[in-house]
Amino acid sequence: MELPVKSATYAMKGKQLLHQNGIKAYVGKRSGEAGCYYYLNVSEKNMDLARKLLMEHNISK
Amino acid sequence: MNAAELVYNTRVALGDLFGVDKPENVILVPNATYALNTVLLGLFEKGDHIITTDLEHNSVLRPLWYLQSRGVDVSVVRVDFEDDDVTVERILRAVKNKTKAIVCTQCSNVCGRILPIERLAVKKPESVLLIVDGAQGAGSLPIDIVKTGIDYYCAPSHKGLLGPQGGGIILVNNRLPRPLVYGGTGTESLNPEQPIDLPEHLESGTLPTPICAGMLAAAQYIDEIGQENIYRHKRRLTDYAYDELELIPGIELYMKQNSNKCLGVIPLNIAGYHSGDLVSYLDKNGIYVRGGIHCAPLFHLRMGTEQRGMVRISFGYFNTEREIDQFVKIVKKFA
Repeated sequence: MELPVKSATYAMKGKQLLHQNGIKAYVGKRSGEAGCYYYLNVSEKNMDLARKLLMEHNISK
Repeated sequence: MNAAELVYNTRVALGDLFGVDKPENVILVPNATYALNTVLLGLFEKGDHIITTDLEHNSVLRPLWYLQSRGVDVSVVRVDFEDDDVTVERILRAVKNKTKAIVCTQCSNVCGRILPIERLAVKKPESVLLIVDGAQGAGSLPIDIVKTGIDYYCAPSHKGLLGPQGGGIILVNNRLPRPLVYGGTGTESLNPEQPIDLPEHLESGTLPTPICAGMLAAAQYIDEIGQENIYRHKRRLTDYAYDELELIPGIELYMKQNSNKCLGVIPLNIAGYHSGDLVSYLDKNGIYVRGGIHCAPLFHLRMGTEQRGMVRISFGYFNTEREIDQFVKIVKKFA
């Protein structure tokens, strides 16, 4: 599952944050409605917690 | 993604050296001049007032003179070499209703005089921004940007941060300056406007990954040695050099009386000679120092050395007392 983030910097920050919380995440990049964006790929079971953590730390796009 | 991770780790490592825990607030730029221009040209408007000092490098002064030509009011305060309280008092007295910022060096690039940044941060009005040129202090004078209350801190990679030429940083601890350069950020490509998030807001174009790799390795090395130890080493070398240099006949030491307030650089001359004469002589003897006026015109105008210049010797973590002895021996021959 893909969680869009603000930028490459935030992707790395988010990846680290999720790892610290026991969630494995992979950074990816693709283009969408607003152009290129970075995202964090996490497993479906970790999706809700990952989204919450990224929101709390102002990392989500 | 490995490159992106390396760049991110560079931000983290450099931020750690200065107490900045948000890696996105570590902006990577080509040098300190670029960093200072980004901050100065990106924050101020006609009618604003800015205070600076007479120890500044042209990387501060020239953007300020440009802003002055566009209607920004600029005041230059004379640094008291002996008493920091006098300097702080002079700066505070220069504050007006329209004062938006104090811009000053952490440590003079010509005489090594350390400025009372911490005291200034505490005493200045909250509404006045504090912008620090850390070109000569970064890596040698430990400072926590956030705890101290510095709003913007600019530094090059290649001096005390021990990294390669071609790198620099802006540490942002306040509102966003307007970008100096607009362009591709790898994000929001269909948005005609520059992204509002840091670091992309201030970083357009491809980042120099090899430079970042050098900056990262250097930051990790500094962290390993400890900035306090680097400071102590430079303190010891500066004191030792002053003691040895004063024994040279005809030497003119401009900051001898306040040498304990200076770090890492010593300006000097030999009576009867232009600074360039000694620089050439030293060059032939394998010692590389800088003469002239070191892009710090106000300091030299104050000292009356704008024509003759000064010879500036400087120390890094890797220099030794033995090298100072060799230097003194060669200068004695010249004198």
